[in-house]
Amino acid sequence: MNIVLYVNNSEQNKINKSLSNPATFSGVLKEETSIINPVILMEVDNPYNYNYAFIPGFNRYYFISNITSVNNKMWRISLKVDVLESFKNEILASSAIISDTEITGLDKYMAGNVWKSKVKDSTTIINFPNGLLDNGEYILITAGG
Amino acid sequence: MSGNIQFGWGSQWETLANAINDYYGGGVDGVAYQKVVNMLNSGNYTMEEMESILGNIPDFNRTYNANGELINVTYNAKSSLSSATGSMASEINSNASVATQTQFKTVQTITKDASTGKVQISDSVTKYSGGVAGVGKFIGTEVIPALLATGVGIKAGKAIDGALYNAYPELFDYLGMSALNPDTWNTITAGDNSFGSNVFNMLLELDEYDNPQLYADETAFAYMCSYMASQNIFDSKGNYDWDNVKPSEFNIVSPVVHNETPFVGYVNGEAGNFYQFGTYQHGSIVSIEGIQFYDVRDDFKVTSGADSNGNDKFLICSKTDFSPSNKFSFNPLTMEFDGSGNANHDSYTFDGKTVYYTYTYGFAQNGESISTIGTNYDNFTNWGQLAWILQYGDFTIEGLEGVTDQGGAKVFDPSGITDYSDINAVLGMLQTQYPELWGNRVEVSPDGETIIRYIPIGFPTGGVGDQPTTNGATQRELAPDITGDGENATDELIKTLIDLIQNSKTNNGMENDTDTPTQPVNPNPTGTGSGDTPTVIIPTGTAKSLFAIYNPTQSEINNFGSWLWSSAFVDQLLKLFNDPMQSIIGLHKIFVSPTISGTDTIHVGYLDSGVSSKIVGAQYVTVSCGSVSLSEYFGNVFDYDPFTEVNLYLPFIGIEKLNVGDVMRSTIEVVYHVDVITGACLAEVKVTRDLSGGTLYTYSGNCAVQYPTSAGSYMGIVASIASIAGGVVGTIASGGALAPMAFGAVNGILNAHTSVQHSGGFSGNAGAMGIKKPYLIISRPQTALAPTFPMFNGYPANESVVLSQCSGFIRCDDVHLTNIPATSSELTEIESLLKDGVIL
Repeated sequence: MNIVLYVNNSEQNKINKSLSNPATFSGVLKEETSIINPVILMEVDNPYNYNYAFIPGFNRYYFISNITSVNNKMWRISLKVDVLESFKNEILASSAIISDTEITGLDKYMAGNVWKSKVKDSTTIINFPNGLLDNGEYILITAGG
Repeated sequence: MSGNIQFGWGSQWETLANAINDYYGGGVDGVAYQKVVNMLNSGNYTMEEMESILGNIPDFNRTYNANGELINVTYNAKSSLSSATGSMASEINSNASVATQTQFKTVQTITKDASTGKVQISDSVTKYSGGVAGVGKFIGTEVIPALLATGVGIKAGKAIDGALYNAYPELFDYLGMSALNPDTWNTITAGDNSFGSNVFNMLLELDEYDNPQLYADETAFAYMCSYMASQNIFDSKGNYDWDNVKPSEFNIVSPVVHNETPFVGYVNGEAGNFYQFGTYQHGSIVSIEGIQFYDVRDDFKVTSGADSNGNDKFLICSKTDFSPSNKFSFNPLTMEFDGSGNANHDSYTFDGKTVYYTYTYGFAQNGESISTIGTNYDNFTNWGQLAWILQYGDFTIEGLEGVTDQGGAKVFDPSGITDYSDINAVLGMLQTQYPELWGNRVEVSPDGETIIRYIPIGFPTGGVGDQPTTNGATQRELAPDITGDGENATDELIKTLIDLIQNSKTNNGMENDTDTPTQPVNPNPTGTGSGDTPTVIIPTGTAKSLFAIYNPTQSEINNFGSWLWSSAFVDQLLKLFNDPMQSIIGLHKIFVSPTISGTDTIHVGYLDSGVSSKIVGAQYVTVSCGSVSLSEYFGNVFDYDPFTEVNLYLPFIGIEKLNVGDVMRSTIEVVYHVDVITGACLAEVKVTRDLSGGTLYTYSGNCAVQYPTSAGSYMGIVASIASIAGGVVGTIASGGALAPMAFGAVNGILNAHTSVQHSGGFSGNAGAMGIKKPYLIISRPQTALAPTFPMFNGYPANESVVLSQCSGFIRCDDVHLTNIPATSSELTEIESLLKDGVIL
């Protein structure tokens, strides 16, 4: 089966990863391997230059989790499915309620633990324009009208 | 300093700059900013080195277009955005008010030494106005396409309002807009392709009076104009038919379409009749209404019957352009229309169909040639439409809902556009039609080489009754009309723009897209209050027959005292009282001006002291201490509890804590009601927000300073000072009643100010020694937000979205995963990852 190896430059939790240096190879599935964590035997030069893969037959993308040398040219490549990239179109079409966001749905008036402040304060005084008299007025109350 | 910049050194510089910034304050006037700029302007750095330095100082932002080219450099200034205090009470929606301490990005411009290649940075942006270079305060901002469309429309003579957005919610979506010219689109936008994203880079200028002026990149302006023209936004709404278009002097013979081309129309000026002629046929003679045409050197020629009095007019129209050799002459009054050259005929295009025409009015007799098109026929200007109707038929221009012409404005004429994707050509047309805009342009260089020209665009002023401002002889910056009745805009336009900016325009309008999930209706009501508290009614009336109230001066008091203790008074008074001082009910000072009803001598019982004094006419006095507006400072959570605390000092009462949620974004007024007899005072704290509100807090105290008139009264005064000063009657249960001498009560509040009693209750004699004017004490936190934390953690949110609309980091609370061909374990992992956080 064919397998395309890449260099993944993006975060693991990124959808629409930036993949470079694609190279297509032919490999053999190791017996009783799953499509979620397949192990592929491949003859390839310098497989350690790659960290990502796509298997067209499985229609899935994979992280390269381990590379083991079998002999001089044969390598055992252990893969772990990248579900975010494999099903990105369907995921992007899904609806969700987001609890934290960098950009979309940003509302800076939602409480949360991310709002960090120092222990120091600043104080602002705002005076009202008017007040009571600085010097009072005498009031004399006498008996009788 | 050499140009080799190490990444680690840059981080250390950031720490140092922050330390200086903390000490001296921030903003473009701050010492830290100046030190950074001075260092960068030492003349030692190339643009690449400058970018490396700026990249290590978070407060400097660099904006790139979709091609990755630098288009703007800004600095996060922290100065107050506006010097005007304003009144929160007049804000219709306080949620839309701007925080005073807003980080705004002041635009930086780079200049480059051509010989050395070294660059310098400054915030002095050059503005061209009438050829004079000036410097203004410019802020960099990004806006959504719809906002740019509104501003461009204003300058191009069209008012665009909310009806357009409601009818065509996807009209200014990036997908449709970018397809016009993807290459140019990538140079003028940030490349963020999510719905409702701010993609256009713009400048906002604030003049010395804080009047705003928006500027758009000239290429973006041209792109928007071309796109709007392609969407028929510059088309006027209306029907054009024979009756609508023809000159009033024309009497209809038969308003039929003449497919014959070329077609000649002849009007007899005296009779006012429009005679229609048939097709000119080369080599043939056509005679209609006594006027004959014949072929003379490929010419039209009227053989006879033409009026010789000079009142006849001819309109010649054709679906194909005239040959340069065409001439039209009318015999025996030989008149030649020289059909050669553009100067002698014109064209009109509508609905993709063009008619070519030439006309004249009047002609000389006997062979004189008239080779130019008459510029008017009794001021008739619709020759082109008339010709088009004759050849193609009546037409109707529907126009778009929500688009109206601005009265008196020069509407952009897109008729010269042959290719909407040729943005440079459209730019040239705009520069020709609106030269004054380029005369007021601003030029900014983000890298010392590229010059980006920003031209002023309209800024919706909003508000009822706003008057348009004339900007040039034929342009008007009118607040766009959204009601369609010709009245000035209301704040609904501002609300529409705010909704667009806040991405509340969702996919609800895309009725034909059944595959796209639709957004639910926003369940949250508007965050504005309403209602007012009842008006305070002060009681009136006093028992004037039992006692008298005087407002004497110091000398009058002294004179009264002398009379009181004179032997003559004592002898008489002892017949009434055992003790002369029993005649004095009270003597105190109050700190408001009592209401005076007149003057009289001071009487004690029926005894007249002969000492003149003012008489107090009313028991209660009301004094307003004025109002202050309290605006947000940070524009976020930090403006509210538990981060910010607001206390209010009230004379003769003390310092009371206010609920921040009650008073933020509001205007606060303090009113004192004083009882002059007892000195009791009631302080009303009135809070107005969103044009409604009332008395939210009331506090009582005593503003009378008692004077001892006997040993007994003195002991009573001393005893009252040691007792409780006043109680708190708050409508909000915060703080509760003040306990006398209860200093040092401490409540532990997570992530908040430690609650400390600022004062005990003090009134009367103690209060007289205090401050007599109220003031607010606002304690704000010093924030410690990591600049990059949104990328790693995001801000708290609670928003319903379709994930394709999102960008950047998000963490989901709940997600519906449907139609995904994944195994159950994969689905579980997808949901787990989305709830942990992903980057889109």
